[in-house]
Amino acid sequence: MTSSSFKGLRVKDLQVYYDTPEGVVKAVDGISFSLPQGKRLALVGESGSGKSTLSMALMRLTRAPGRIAGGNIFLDEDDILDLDVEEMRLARLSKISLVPQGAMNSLNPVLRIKDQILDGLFDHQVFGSKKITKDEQLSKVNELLSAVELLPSVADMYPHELSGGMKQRVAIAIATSMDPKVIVADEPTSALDVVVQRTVMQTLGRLQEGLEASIVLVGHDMGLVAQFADFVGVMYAGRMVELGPVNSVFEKPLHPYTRLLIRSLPTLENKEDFVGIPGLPPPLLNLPPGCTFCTRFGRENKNTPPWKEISKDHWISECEVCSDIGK
Amino acid sequence: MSSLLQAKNVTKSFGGGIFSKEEELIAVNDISLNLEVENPKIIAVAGESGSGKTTLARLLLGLINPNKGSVEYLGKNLKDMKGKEKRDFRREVQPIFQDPYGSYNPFYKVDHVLYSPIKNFKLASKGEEARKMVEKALELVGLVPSETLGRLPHQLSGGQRQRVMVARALLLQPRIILADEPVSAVDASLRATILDSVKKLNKDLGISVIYVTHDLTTAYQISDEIMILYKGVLKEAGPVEVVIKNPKHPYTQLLIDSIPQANPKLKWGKLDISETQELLDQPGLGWRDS
Repeated sequence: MTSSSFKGLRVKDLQVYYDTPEGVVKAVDGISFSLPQGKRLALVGESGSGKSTLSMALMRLTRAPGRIAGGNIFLDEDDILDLDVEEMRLARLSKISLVPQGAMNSLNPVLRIKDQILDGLFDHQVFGSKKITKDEQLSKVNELLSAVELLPSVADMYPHELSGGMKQRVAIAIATSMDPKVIVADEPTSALDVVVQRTVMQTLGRLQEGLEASIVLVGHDMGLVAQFADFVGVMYAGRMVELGPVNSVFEKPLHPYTRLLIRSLPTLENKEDFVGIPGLPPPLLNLPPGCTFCTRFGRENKNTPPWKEISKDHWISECEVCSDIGK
Repeated sequence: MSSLLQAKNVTKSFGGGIFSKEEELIAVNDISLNLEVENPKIIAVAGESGSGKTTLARLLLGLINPNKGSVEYLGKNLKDMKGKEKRDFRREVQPIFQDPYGSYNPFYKVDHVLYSPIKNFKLASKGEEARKMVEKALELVGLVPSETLGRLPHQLSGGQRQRVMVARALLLQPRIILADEPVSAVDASLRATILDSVKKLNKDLGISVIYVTHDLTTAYQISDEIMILYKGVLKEAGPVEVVIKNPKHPYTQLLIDSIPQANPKLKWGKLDISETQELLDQPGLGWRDS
């Protein structure tokens, strides 16, 4: 992929650090990936692997004591890390938008749904400087609501009158209201029932395809990832350990961590003994260089494993010391 | 066969009194369940939010009383239990709840949740004996006592916190463990470890387990029998192999079809939800053996 004509999201050596009194926590430590326009990437990993930190950094919503310490985030050709604060504020929603984790807490409890949808549109002056009538506003709201399969009557409701799935749909309506190029969805369905989860994800997928937007899905549910994504990025201790097309990763996982992650999942196919992943991820504070996965098994590789493309688009961080685990 | 814990046609409704403007909500509608003394097994109670599964769990624990029907422990109605009987019931039927953090007092070390039941039920006469019991219980759930004791709840991971709760339940040598969504707040990779320890308790120690969950995959993996609830009504029940591999009720079929399986080749969501919607209210099929 040549960088000059690349369409989509391209992240290069991104670093997000948290400065703490005890030292620097490298929550995202040198992550790179390219996501072509219209494709879906899912980021998976255990709690604390840095996937949510990465998704917030993509929106440039990293909060102190966190900071983006280095790297680039290219949207098509422009590095959004070069934008000033006001430009970035305008880029959110119109170019890159967020479907937050737990829509329950992200909607304003004292505003009607229609006002929350219109809020972002007014702010970005979607209607221009001309005064538009209430009817025109309402027709835009209804159009967005019907795109997420909600009834027009929802416009006049407050968040507490909606179910969890409906709230998540409202969040999707807001996120797609300005046809963004990239949608970042941080565990969008983690609090929903399976049937609702499926319908919400199908709605999100349909809208994303219609907009030809790219989507970055953050989640720990490997099942959802297998069903929804085109590419999977597996994160461990702030680094990407494997990245590849979904079929290839699930069929032939190359990194030991991915293998153990997939094996720990219960299936409906056959009953087996459960195998969890032994140990815990390392603390990220003052993490020494070298392979972070080796330490979980009492092994040691002082050299940081190289990031290699093994087969087409299928990358792993290749460490010879722990590569046999889980085989 | 004598029954250990038995729910006989229990119904529980909320609201809808003479002065209430709201309609009566039947949370649990005419449901029966039986655990036998001789045959300890794992029963999964599965359903989505609003299916009544947690209400059923609360009825079985005697935390609320049914409007109709009864819950009996060793043949004695929970409603009529007093004094020692009630204490024995409280010791022998142990709950494990969803949020492992909510069960702790953040100011006390985790030792507190382990030692206080020993004290309250006078299970040990000496400090040394109590310490041995606690260590044994922790080891049974796969925790290392020296790495666990003496810590504050926030210093443990979610999975460790939940395993300490399982250890606490074990200390009381219960005959039944009622686990209400024990792993839904825990990382997917840690679920396996916790459920594995629950399964071992059943197989090795002969403890009956009622596993309340919305997750049919884990229910399939650890249970012997399953009950599928929808809007308070039992839609289908039977051995897991029968119900999961060959679901007959449209609701069970929809649930299974909606599970995202970790295999990109098994496509998800083949059923059209708008078409199945009316079928979901079809009456339950009851117990199925095949």
